[in-house]
Amino acid sequence: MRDPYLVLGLSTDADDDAVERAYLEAIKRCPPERDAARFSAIRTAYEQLRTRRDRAAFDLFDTTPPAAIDILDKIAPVGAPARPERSLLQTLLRGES
Amino acid sequence: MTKKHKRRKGRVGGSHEIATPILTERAQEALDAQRWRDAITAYKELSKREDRADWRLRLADAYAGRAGELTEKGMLKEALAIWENRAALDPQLPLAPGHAALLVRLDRLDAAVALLAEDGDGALPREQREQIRAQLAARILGGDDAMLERLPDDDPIRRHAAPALTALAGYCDGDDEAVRAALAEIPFRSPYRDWAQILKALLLQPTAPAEAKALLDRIDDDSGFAPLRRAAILSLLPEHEFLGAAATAKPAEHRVAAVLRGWPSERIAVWQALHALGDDPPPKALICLLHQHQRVLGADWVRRKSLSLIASDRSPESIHWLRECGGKAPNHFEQALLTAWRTDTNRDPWLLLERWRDCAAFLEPQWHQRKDPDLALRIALLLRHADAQGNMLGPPAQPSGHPEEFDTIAAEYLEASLSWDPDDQATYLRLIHFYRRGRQLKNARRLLEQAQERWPRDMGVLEAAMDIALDARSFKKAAGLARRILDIDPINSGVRRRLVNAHLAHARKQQTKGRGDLARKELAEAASWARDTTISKRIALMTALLSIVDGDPDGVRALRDQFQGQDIALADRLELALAADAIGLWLGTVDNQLKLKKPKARDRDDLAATMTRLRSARDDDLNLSDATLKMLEAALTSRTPWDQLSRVELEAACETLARHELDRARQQAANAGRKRWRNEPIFELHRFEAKYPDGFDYRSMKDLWGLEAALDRARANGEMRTAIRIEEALPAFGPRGGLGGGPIPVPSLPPIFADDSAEDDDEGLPPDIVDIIRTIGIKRALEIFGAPPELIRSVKEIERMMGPDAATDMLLDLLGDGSTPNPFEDLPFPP
Repeated sequence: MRDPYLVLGLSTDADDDAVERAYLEAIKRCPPERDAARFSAIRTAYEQLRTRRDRAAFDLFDTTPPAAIDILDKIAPVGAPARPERSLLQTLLRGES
Repeated sequence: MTKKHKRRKGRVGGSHEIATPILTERAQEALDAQRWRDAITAYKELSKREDRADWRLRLADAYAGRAGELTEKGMLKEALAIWENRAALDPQLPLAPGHAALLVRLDRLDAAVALLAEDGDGALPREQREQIRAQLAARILGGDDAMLERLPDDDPIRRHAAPALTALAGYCDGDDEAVRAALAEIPFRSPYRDWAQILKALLLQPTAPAEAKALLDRIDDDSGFAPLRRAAILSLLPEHEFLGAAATAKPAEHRVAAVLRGWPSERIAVWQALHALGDDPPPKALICLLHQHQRVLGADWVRRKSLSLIASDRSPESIHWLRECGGKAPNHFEQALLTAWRTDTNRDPWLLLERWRDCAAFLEPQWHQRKDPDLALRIALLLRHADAQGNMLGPPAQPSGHPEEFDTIAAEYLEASLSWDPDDQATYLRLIHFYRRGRQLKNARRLLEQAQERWPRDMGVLEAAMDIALDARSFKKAAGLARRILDIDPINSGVRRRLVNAHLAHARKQQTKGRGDLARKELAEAASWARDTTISKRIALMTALLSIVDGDPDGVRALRDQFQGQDIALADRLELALAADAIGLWLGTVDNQLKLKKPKARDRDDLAATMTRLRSARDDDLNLSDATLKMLEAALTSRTPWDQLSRVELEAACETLARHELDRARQQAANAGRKRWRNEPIFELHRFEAKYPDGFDYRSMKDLWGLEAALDRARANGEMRTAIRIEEALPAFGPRGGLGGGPIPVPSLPPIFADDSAEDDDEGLPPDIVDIIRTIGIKRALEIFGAPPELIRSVKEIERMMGPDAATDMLLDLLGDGSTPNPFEDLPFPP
């Protein structure tokens, strides 16, 4: 299971309003008809963090080890698609690895 | 000293001595099986014997195969040597695409360029020429543009290079218009065609990934642009697939793909570090990795996730990992938390309560220093967690009433948690319902008052208040509360039903107190709230029945007209009986007043309807009076058409009858099932349980054996639920665990075990007993005789080691010769 803070793009000091806002934004970006699995993950994350009590309980009782993707998202979240530098593209065009 | 290498002897053997026809055959076999080295050896030998064009061609194929093999292994120079051997076979032999590609790859661009330059007369096949050009085109875009000067002016690589390079620059600069304009100048039959396709796909990637993928799929795997194509396809994968696929991709490919997906460079670096740890990285390695990136990840996050990783490992050394990875050792609270986490899966409620209480105890002194509300909330959550984890106070748990039982302690912790976090409505309601189940209404009310102060109009609290009022038989209060709930939520059918039931219960109370007038008023209230026509009819019937109580002759006559017909359905008689029960009117009075005959099920449909009504009565928790049950028992055992019910109906009927303890009727129904569906284990079970409702009394061992055979059949048929039920039924009939709880007398057994002197023949045990033991098995016999568990365990062990027959023989011998202390001598067998 993913870290709900990272699924919703929240910091650990987020309050109820911030959680609500992040959830609404997330489901707007990813409605169930577009990606049901992602939507379900967003919903689960929201339920884990909805209230102050939920967040404290998550902090005390969740023992899920961090997933690779959690660590990656925490260090450097995926941004907008970018374009490789010319030198990197040329490395590939030369068939080098 | 030089090392002497043994030459590998191929499967074609020493080809010098082999006759030409056989060698030809073996050479072809090796070629077909892609044993390139064997094929090369054989065809070389054959070509030495005779210069034949077909052998030369096959030798060329074998060289090509071997060169490809070496290329795949990364032995590029060796592969090129093989290609050169192939080319030397025949100057007329066309240059293989793989050879040309390798020349480009090994930076022998001059050779490739020369090849094209010398091919002015078009000797090279078109396809091959295009492939070489595409390889060179990719290299030119890759930065080797100096070679352009060496190509003829009219060569398409040279002619189309300018727009291709412009497109590259435009793409990297983010100038999509320039890219599109440049691509428009590249014709379809250009060496840069694949490049144009890839760029179009990359432009489409963010908005139309499916279309981008379709464009990329058009490019061949041996294209000079294949690495870039692979990277672009990788970038289109969903995140979870990408992580796996990137692990097998070449570094430059996944770097390009990662950038295309929007991965910053730090993410790529960490991904590479994670990838290096393998698919299932050990927790300690992950903890170390987290600590290496602590600055970016945040110290708190790293700490918390490291604790989760430690908890995921059960080894005692894991507690030291934090320190070994550069962090601080877990503090007292963290150690308590780790211990508690590891207890979470434990079923011992005491352990759960103790561990989580320990965690709370570590935080309490901190709260006294800081008065931090978050800390108070955490203490409350820790105090509640053992109950939540072990479901100690949830349904159907009831208060034991014992101060040292775990449920009492759990309830205490939960109540204590409310002093730390008084706003948790769920905890109030959990405690209220827990106390209600144990009829500790004083405790329930105490918590209810606290909850009502906080949430006076909350539905959950109002419903709890109504439930407590009903428990206390304060029907008026319950009705008032139900009305308040319906004011807030008019479509709350559950509360409406409870309100109707409250009025009905109140009506009964008034009727039994001799206040028929008030009972009528309550029934009228109930009718006004009822929305279900069945319930409305039932209330009307109850109201009509009050005329019997009131001695109203007109009302009684009307009822008599309704029920006195010749062929009144049993289902209607049941409805009448339920109505009488509901208002506390004795059924005998009703029967006398209405001059009703003994009821019976008139046909199949009536029987099915009666069973349905009986089932819903159970579901509604209606208590049937003894008179009603007696009436039903008589009606359902008098020529009842059980055999006309379907299998499903009959099985459901048996279950319903079991729930109402109508055992005689159940036995009849089960017998009907046994007759129609022979060997059905479920009917065997119902018959047995109905025949021996107070425990097996050894009336007939055949019944017991019949049930054991049914158990075997249920297991064989895969009816595991039935098998489990039979298993549960069987031991319950032992003398120590009988349904009545006390020992069951065994009248037919001789007092063999009670009196040592009774048996002194050769066999030691009476033949009948030996027969019984052999028939039902030693384990079952011991259970029936109530042997001590340790003896049964020992016998099972012997059975496992030696087989059942040998174990039986052994035990009979031991019992027979009197050398073993008699395991049954303390049992209360009759004299």
